[in-house]
Amino acid sequence: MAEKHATESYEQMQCVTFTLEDETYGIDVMQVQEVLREIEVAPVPGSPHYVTGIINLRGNVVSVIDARNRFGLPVRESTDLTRIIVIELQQHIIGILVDSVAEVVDIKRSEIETAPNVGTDDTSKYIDGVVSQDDKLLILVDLNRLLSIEEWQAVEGF
Amino acid sequence: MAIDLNDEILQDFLVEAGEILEQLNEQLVDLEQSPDDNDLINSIFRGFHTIKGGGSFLALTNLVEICHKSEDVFNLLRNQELSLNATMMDVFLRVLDEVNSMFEEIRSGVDASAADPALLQQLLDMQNGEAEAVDTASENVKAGTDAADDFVAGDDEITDDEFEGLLDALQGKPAATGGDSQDQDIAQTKKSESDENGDMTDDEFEALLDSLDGAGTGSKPPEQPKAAVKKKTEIPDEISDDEFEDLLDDMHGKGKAPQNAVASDKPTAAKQEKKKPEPTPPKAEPAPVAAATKAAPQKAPQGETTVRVDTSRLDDIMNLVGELVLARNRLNTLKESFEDERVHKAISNLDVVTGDLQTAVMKTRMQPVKKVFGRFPRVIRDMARSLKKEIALEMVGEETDLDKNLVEALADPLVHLVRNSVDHGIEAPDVREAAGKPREGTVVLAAQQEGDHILLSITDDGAGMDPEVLRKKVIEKGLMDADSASRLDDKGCFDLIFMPGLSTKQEITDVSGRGVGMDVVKTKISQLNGTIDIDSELGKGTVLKIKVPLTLAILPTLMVQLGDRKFALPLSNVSEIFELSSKKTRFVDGKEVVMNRGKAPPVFHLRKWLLNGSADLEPMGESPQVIMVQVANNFVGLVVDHVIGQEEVVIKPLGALLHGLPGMAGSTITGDGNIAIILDVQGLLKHYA
Repeated sequence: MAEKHATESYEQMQCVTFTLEDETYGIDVMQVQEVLREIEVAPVPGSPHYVTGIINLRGNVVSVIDARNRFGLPVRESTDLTRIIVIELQQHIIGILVDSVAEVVDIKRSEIETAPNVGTDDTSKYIDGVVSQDDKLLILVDLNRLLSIEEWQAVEGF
Repeated sequence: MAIDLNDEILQDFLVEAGEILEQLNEQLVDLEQSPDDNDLINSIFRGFHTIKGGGSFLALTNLVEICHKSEDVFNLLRNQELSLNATMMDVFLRVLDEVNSMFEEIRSGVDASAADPALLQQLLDMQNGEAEAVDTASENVKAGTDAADDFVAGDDEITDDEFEGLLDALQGKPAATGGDSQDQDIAQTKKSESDENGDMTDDEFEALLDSLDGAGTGSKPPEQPKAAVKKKTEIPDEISDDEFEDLLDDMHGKGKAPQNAVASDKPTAAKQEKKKPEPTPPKAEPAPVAAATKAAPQKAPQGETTVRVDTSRLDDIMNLVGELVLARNRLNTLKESFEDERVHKAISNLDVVTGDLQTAVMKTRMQPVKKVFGRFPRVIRDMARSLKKEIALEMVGEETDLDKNLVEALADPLVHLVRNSVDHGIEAPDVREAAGKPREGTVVLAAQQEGDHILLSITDDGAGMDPEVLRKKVIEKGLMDADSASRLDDKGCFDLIFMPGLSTKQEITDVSGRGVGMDVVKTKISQLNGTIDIDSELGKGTVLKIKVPLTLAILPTLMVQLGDRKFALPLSNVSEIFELSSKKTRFVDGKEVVMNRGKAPPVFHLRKWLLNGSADLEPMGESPQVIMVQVANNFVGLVVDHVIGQEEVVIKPLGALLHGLPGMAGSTITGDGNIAIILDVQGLLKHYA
């Protein structure tokens, strides 16, 4: 039973899906702490371009990265659907600003295909693979690659 | 052998023994100053004994061995079977270093490695009296012959009882000093025999020796009979003995602090020379008696009133209180919208209680500055030896309390500054003498509370600094052009030493002088929201003053508004606020300055720095205000839209992605739940100006 469960959990994974422009992306649900409705992000003067600012998460200050910036998309005014996905990345809590958060989906690992080598460099370097679901393509994002090695070094360096 | 670090007993041992080690460090240095202090020797003996006891329980054999050997030597010392000399002091200090490094090893989870066998041998030699042969052979021989002479000379002048005591004592002494073959135990039994014979006899014998040959025996530690007897009689019951010893330690520690300070004072030498025969023994006697009598009633409550608390737990409480302060601030802002009088009352009440709670929690985290100061006697001693200087250290206000984090954070900068004072400040004894100063230089470390700040000062009576030399140096190193350097006043010149890459010492010593230190110190202090100030007079000495807030957790700030955003300026930087009017501003050399109090400090528009890039670059509000801030003795005006007011905030780090951003000290959550960035004025000016 336990073994079966283990194989199942290996074969299966759950993804939180979010949208940017017209694309749907997915990240491993295990890395997601919570999803916040858009709350005011306070910009920090002199911060690196990929950091939108900081938010007050129940008394803790969390830095927020704009996913649009990371994926080379133009910055957009926030809407009612704008969400911040709070993730834990290598022991740091980080918020990711996305256009909207859709749902949690089950996918089979066997269905994951390697990403077709198209798209801009900006986008493709974060992509783990793609899954087609109901005629739509779900792009799996590798969060660890969300920051470049140099950027991680800056994070770890303190 | 690996060590189970989760072992509670081990952890307790490490904490307790760590404290003892710190104490030993001080005590050993004190001992060098006053080798006659038998209380001190006893206390050191007990220190080693306690560490040994704990260590053997935990089977830390190497640690036990070295402590055991040291304890043996101190046992001889306190029984006056050995007398202290400089070589021994060096060995003891090395032993302490060794024990310290063993502790480090144990803390990191490995068994302590064996001590340097040579060191152990030295201890053993000492115990056998051989160490003395090296250094104080002549002294000893002299003392021996003196004693014999006394014996003969004083023969017909003393009563029979006294004579017997004298005989006993004499018997005991050669056994220890000369007898390599003599077992220490035998010496001890001999000693207790003599003790049984009557304390006073022994004392009188001492007194007699002293009076007959003051100089020869002056270096000998006086007897402390009561404590010794007590110890011997109580040996069977080990636990109570240890407890009693610990208690004694406590009592001594408290009672003696000022005494030690005095002892390390200059008069020591003088005191030693004109030491009268009688006073010392009686002085030594009342202390333990008083301790014993006081100990009984204090013992019970003491055990129940103190609790050892994990510091991380204290930090948690502090964080929670921080949250509470924020919640209170929020309520305070909301208060206005409530009509009900009762709500106002309740909120004001909460306000007061929160304030009290904040103070109370802060107090639990307070530690006496002694924690930092404690290491300096050793630092100074070691440096004085290696630099061949004569230096006395005075410490004032050791009991001043400050936040635990601050105590830790201040340790390194202070050590650096003190080392600087000793290395660069105090001159060599000959030079001092030539300059008409006492050979011995003095370094005074002082701490005192000033309102919500602590003022630490390091004063030396050394050579002082020459502003001209500094001027030349700074030009030479290309850190400043000749023009601006010549415009600096003396104080400005002294401040130059905080510039990176400047060292005025011609030669680089291993002590200091690489020119990396002072700017690091300065940065460190300003990170603590503190300031450092230097003043010096050529030939007279230098004063370094460090001002730091009492606590790091809660920061008094001035909230200002820029556009729709709030920023917090540490209040410690703010010196004045006034309205900006076009009549007051001038442009000098392309830079905007504002006329204020007869001076024209530069002004900067924070808007341009902090709101750049975001859309809200709307024109300045109706009445922009200028906040005068002081950064390293320079005044700078910062223009803001308007000043909101003073607010005590809890500093929250900016988080990993934004850490170390220039000009930003952190963030905080304001009364209305929004985020305000706390500015680091110095960093801000450095980065943007």
